[in-house]
Amino acid sequence: MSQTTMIPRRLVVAGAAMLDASTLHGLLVGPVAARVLRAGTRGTVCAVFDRSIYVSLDSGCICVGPIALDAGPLNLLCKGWFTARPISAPLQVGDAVWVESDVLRIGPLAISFAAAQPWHPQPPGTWNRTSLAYGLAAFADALPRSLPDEGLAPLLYAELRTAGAISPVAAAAKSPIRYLTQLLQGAKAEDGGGINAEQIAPLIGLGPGLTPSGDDYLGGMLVALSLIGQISLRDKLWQLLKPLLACRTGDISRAHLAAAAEGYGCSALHDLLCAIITGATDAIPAAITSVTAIGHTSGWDALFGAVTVLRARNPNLTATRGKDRHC
Amino acid sequence: MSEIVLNTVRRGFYLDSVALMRLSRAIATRPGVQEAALMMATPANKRILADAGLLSAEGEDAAPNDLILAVRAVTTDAANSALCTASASLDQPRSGNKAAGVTHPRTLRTALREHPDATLALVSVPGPYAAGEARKALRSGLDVMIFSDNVPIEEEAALKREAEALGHLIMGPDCGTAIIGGTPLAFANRVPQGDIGVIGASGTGMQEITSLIAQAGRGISQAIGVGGRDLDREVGALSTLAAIGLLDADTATEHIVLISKPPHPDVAREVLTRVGQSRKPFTICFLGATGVHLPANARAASTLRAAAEDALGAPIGLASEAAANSSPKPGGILGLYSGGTLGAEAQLILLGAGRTVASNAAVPGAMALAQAADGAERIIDLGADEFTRGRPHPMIDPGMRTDKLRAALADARLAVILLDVVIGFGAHADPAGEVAATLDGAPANRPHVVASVTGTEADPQVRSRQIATLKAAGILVAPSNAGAAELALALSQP
Repeated sequence: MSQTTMIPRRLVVAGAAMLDASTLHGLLVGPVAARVLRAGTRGTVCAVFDRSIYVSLDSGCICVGPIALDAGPLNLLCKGWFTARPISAPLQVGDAVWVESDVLRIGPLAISFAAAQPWHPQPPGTWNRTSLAYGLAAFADALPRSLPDEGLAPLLYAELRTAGAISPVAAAAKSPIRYLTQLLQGAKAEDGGGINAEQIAPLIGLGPGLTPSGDDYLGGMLVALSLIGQISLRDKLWQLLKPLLACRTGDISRAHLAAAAEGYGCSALHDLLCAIITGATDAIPAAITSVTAIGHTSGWDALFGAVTVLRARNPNLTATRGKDRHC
Repeated sequence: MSEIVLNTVRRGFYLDSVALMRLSRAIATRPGVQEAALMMATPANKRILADAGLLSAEGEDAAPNDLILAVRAVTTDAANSALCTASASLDQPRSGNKAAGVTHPRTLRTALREHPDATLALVSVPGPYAAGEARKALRSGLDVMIFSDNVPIEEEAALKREAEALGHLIMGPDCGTAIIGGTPLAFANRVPQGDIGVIGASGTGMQEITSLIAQAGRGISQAIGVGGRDLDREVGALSTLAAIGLLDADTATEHIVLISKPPHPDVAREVLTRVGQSRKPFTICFLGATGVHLPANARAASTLRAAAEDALGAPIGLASEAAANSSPKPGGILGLYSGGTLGAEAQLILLGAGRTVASNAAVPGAMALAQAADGAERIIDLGADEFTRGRPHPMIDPGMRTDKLRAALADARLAVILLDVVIGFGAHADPAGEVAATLDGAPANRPHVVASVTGTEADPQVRSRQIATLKAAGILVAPSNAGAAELALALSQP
């Protein structure tokens, strides 16, 4: 391009220039995040990912990201947040975080959350055992033919799996999941009496990532118990789990579990569970896609925990799966 | 044989499991490494590491918020080397670019002070700020590539009008591919410099055409991305017109290729009028458009391959060798695509052969996937929003395609699985290896798997190595994406 000025001798990378920009605007805030974001609270950035960051404040832990992220209890979702691009955000772990009035300051970045709409998951509405049975059958039918090899999904519908080795994580989860399944199906489940926390403890912190698979599974269980109204059992489980968490899992995962103990999961999980519970079968396939797209296996693992609860509510239901569907 | 177990602990370090798994796999394949794992140091995970013979005393002391990097190797050197590599990868976002000599100034003003001879700014900031940063760059006398998306279309049009008035070029917003002065920017391939200029509103479309040109031994003068909405009515092709002007005036450019989805008719008229004012030959590839009236110096290309062939003045090889050794099967075609424009090209070829086609990113004539009739060939764009929410794009991490590919391999109703393998800067280090590994243990009567590799020999992944990996796994490799779609047609009996 000899007659133009376009040949770049050097590129100017302006990726960090937004730090000088004015305030970003929070559009949606989850119930836990709304509680945490109170004036005067301080903390640091504790994790930075491609599309979102976690900040640990003295009042709790929240996730800040783009509006394209799924709504959730810990999430503050912002207009104009970094896009899902491999050029990463110019924020780093350890950057100072503080809240001034209705503005969250993360290093030199300011996010006004004054006009952020509160997000609350909707209750499932009218349902009964029949609607749940229809929903579970449709769910089983809509599951992909091949479940992921990693996380706990290989244990979901284990009777349909072909023989083969499962991962060490799934192997370690088998026994506590069997215990929880029997517990939920047993007579003692209604009041939560007689639960042996040590049987469940191996699940806590089990799995490689930010929210370990075992924690995701337990979180899914707690959310599902809330949705079907088994609040006393949920609370009993949480009271037993809570003291075990401090030394067994990370801060971020612990924050997600605490939200689940209040009945809060991400919106995609709520949507799917409500569809299953009310037998809204048409909504289930797309909702499965949304949930299983969360994280590497987090969506699958939470779904598995939730479905363990729902299936226990309908122990006589035989799982059926479509045999003739395209992927 | 001796075994050395070494652990490194990163205090208070979080990484998502996709990244941990990817890095674990990469480290495990290093010479002398028997096994490797990166896990948060919860007691449950430490038990797993211990059971796998991967936990040392240092890892045992780690806390649940810490990350353990664990390696078992045949020698201490191999273990240390693997841990160093893993640590370097974890640090890459902060230290990698410094090592490459790229600075990270916090303002454009600082950047220009450090690099007064710069002529192009690459802007990647949140959408609402992108126009502002781009405007600052324009007013500082720079051309601008805007990598950011989520820029309001009114802002885009206003920015491009200002650029036009100032005599500068805006590439984007949402411009993911460009090759300027021989430098690949963002998702792009290393191609030789030559006399063919490319203007495109499509990232993988530009990658396919520039790569096909490179494979034929020719080169690119410039490949200018304009952003996916530039030929919409609201923007009026302002960047496309500016790019045509630049390449028209460029003595190094002899032939110009223009790629886009079908533009608004008024915009198409304006663009083609400008094309007609040039003395240079043009190839116009409006994928899926019909009834376009071209000026005398322009020829239409219905596919990306046809566009490359027209620019080259020579045909690109057919997949006859692969076809000759394979027999057709009864059944349908399932395309699992990481590149949206490549998937669109495949749809057009299948539609042109009279097949019924369904896609989640349907071209004109194809139906939506949700309404797919029995017997429809399915082309799935795995880079679409519904698949990429919360996880990397499949060009970056092809693992997302693996589950779907594995399921398809066991689907007796399929005759052919059609894949793209996109390499180059920004793409996965070994996408062909990921595909090949998925075919391990597939049933003997599996569907044919047909693929093409978009990229060049000079790319970091090396195209011929990627092809060899695919062929060794029994995958039929066509010389172009269009060729792959045609081979899929030949091998499937609906």
